[in-house]
Amino acid sequence: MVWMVLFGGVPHQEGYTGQLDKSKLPLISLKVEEYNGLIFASFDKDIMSLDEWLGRAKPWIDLFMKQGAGWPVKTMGEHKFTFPGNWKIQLENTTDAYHFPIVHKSFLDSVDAETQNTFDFVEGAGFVEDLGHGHSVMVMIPELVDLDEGLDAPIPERFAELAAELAKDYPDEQVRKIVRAVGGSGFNLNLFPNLACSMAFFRVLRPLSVTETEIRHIAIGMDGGPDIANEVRLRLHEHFQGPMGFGTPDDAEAWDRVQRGSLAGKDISILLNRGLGHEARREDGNLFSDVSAETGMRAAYRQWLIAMSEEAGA
Amino acid sequence: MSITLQDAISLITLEADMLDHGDFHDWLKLYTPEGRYVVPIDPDVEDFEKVLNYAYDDAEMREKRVVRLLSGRSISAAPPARTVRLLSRYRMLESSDTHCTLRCAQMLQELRQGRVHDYAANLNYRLEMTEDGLKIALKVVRLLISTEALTAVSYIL
Repeated sequence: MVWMVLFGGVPHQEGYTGQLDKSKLPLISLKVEEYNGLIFASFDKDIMSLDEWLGRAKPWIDLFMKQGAGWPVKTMGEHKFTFPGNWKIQLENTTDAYHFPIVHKSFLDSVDAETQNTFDFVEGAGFVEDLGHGHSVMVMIPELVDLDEGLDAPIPERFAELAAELAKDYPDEQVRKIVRAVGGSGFNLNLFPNLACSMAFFRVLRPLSVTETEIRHIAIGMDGGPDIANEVRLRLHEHFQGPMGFGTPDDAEAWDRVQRGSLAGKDISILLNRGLGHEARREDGNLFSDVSAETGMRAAYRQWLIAMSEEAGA
Repeated sequence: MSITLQDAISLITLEADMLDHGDFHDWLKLYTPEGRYVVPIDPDVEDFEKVLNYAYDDAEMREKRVVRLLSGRSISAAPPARTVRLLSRYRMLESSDTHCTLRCAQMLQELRQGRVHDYAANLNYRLEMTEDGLKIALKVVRLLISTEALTAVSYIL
């Protein structure tokens, strides 16, 4: 009968002669809440409120949404792909800075020197911070955390053509705001368990099995903003993301190798102690360490352990 | 005289051969300077510039793609995937002495890391007659599974 529901009702209900109480057979409903345009759902009706769950991650979602440059943020299509590995390998990746200059050499080769410099953040002033509940943020480019600040900074050469086109229709300050939004935020926000607000796009994870994961890279743009700026965003997304981008296939290859490496034996240590030696606590209680620290991974695994052990004990 | 189907087939099977055998620098020369290599997601889209694609390459991006594949600095392309592709079911849709459009089927098999993947696609071409002979002005690879989840494709379809 579940199948019949998909067709919009129960056919020939008289066949049940009073033994069918449809009010007792509803579809499963989820607890659904929204924050700043992001919709979350849970099968657990007794789970804490979304407001409490997101907690100290909320200001970072607000900062991420500044990529609308004054317009609402809209989605502009997505790349969807799978890799033959466990979902937590990708979960680790979002706030992992130190893989970037190694795994993404060929991407860095394909951009100009100024952009290479922007992405040379592993030795920089950025940081990784534990935001509670398994969430974490990695700030790679501190000057691009708040896109409304530093609008007088020089426009990067790679956006000079876009800025010149925009200047025909928009005042200088708005041109700068749009161009900064197009370049994306200077941080990756990892929301446990499966959503990342990653610089300039959304990443959604879906475990298909222990050894297979589906990943969606959702492009974002300015809803009502200039088409030429949104098109530059699309080209930037295609350049790095997705199964034919210059970045994603190399990430997928690395995750594939991590998965195969994990089969080497049960007693092999997985080191997650990078940055632990100089990790400190902010006034609000958040742990933080340098940009290449594994603080974000430790945050995610702590929450994963809570989820797994509570479920196991229930 | 209009461009013949035989001339068109000669060019696009040459392209297929070059891509299977890694002759990427020669492959670049098959395109016009304004030419595009496109792998769309949406099966119905024609205005590729306005939407997200898997690849939307102008001459600069094609060249960067080739540099990346040959650089040895991309772990997904070192060692490279090996591919064998067959083109067939050719149909000339429009032809004049300056340009033509045709479509065909492509069956491609990929081997990498001991795994085999199959990709079926409809290919749409716009070819242009230039001073240097017939060139590709547009190649659109419409994958049968374009709206499904793919795996990494570190080569040229």
